Amino acid sequence: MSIETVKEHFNSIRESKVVVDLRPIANAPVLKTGKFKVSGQETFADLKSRIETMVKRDTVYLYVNNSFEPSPDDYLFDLFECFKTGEQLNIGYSLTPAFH
Amino acid sequence: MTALPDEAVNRGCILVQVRLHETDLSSLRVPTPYFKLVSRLSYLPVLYGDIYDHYKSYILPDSLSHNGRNLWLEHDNIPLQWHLPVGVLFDALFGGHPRVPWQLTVHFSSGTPEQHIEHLPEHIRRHVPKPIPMTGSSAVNSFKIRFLNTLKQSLFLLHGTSVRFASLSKSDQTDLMDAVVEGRVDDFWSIARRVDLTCSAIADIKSVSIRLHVYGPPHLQLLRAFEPASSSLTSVRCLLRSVLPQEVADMCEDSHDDTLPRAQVLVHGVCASLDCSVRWLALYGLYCDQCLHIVVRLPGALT
Repeated sequence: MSIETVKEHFNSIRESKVVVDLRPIANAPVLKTGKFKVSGQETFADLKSRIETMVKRDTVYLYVNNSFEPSPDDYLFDLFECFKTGEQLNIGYSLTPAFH
Repeated sequence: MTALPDEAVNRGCILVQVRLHETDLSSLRVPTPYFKLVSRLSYLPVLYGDIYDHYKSYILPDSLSHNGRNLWLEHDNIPLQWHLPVGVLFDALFGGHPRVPWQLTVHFSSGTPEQHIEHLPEHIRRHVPKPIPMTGSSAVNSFKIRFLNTLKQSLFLLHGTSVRFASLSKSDQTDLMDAVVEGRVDDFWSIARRVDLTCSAIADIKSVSIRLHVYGPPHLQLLRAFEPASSSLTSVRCLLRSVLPQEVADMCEDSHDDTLPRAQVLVHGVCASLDCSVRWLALYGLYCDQCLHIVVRLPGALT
């Protein structure tokens, strides 16, 4: 079935790990491990819930390159390909909305 | 001046017919369906206010209390992704064989999209994309936040910085957002041009967001940045061959053998030639979110 082939192909394109560098915005708590590797097959929503657990909050606001919040269904590998700085994806996290 | 290709693109519309889901009907009178001609570049939440006004006297009063946040639309039992342009959703569902009017069903209190998906048979459920939750205080507000972020994301690529949008005056930003929320696509473009958000020459474009939608179903997406100055992706064919498995890219080719299954490649509802220049599309084929959306529709449908 061809759609399954495409799904597997996209998965294999996104197979490599992505380095995410998290930086607090305003009074957001500083994380012990602000920089880590995640699977490129994770979506932005996956990363968001992971960070919400890390900062022990129900909601965090994340901004790639301190500019915009990507769509929850964007894949981390795709975002890395489009917006990486050097070899990492820079994401600012805030407890309140920023850059609006 | 002759009509620019993008003017033709902006005028593309789809006739939408919305009926009320039967479990939401609380009146003895049966409402007439709601019809609207919607720009392909517009978004479904733009219709929510009108749809609400049309049906408010036919539904239970307590269905109305959530600022439209509990209003959602489906086609053939599939909840529609409210954050994608109408034209992209339509092309993914129907490809080059459009069925108009596009028949949608509105839900008010008859369960959330998530609950609705739970009740679908397994073979359909696994094809349905996960609904994107609404994050604002109302449906329109939620849509505004999502659209604004997608726009900023594309502009970041287009100009290589987020400064261009951030430095707009508050009133220009508000005018832009109001034009989108009210479905005034022509106004959106004229404001975007006036405040210099768009690019009128290839040389001005740093890179463009390309969103490739592959519909089987399910609806798969891939996001890529295309740099006109340096990319070797000269044609749609090169682009597809660089991201799709070979057998699927082969299915997109024109073939003289009618027995072979064919995939459709659509840009703004038009079956695109694979020789079409990606640079040209980047200049004339963007949606309001400043993305180039390309839909590849594979043969086969839900069974």
